[in-house]
Amino acid sequence: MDDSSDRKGIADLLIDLVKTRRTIRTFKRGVKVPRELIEAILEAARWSPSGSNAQEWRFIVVTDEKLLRAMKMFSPGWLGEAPTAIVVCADKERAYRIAGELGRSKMYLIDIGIVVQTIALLAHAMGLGTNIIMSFSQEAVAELLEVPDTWEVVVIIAVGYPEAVPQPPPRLPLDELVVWR
Amino acid sequence: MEVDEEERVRIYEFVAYLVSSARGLLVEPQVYGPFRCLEAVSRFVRLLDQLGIKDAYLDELKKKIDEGKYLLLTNEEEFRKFVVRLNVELAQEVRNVLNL
Repeated sequence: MDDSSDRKGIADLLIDLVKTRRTIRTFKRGVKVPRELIEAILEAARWSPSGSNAQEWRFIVVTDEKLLRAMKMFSPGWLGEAPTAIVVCADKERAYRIAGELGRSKMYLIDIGIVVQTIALLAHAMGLGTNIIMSFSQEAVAELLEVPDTWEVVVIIAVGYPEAVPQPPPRLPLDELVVWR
Repeated sequence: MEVDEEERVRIYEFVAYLVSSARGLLVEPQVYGPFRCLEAVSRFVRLLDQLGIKDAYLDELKKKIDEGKYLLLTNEEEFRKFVVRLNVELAQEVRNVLNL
């Protein structure tokens, strides 16, 4: 990829993806997400960076309707009916083993954040919508999914084909965010 | 009142929404609380409807809530005013219902 015009095209595409991604809360009813799309998304997402290359993320993909319904019962932040959920967990034992106390206290959250954004952008690029959910009962969802004790359920990503795409909430202007030294 | 299995699950869904909201609100932003309360009203009215209990005022209230609740995401000040307004309107309806 040496051609600078190719790079500019790819950069423009990525900027567009970042700016047009929305949180989707209304999905097309009865339309499932093909397994191969989820697999392609996670195959690429695992190339995300992580502190000390810990790769402490673990993905539980839920498509069983009864299990989705049960999870939703304990997820007040989950609005709308999605056909698939990617439950992103952190293997805290691995995080500690590879990255020490920093790994299991702080770094794992950054790593999960990075991989979740990667997943959301990949899904958007494939015509899917996502809702990144953090308002749920961690204990209840872990119980429902029989999550190992050494894993922490960090985020639920609801995935489906968007029925409605909302307007974006306001963003702070760049000059309020950046300090140049 | 007898309920079938599906209706029982729907009741549990509503209960679980409130219980898990209580859990989350221990640590979530304060303003999520009012949102959860309004969302609970919307879900409750839907549940009543599914159980065959109809009320035109509550249907209208649900519609208003569903249209206004996402102000939380775009304009918190307007969301707060919306919550206050709903309270006033509900009080007016309660006056009618109780013949005050």
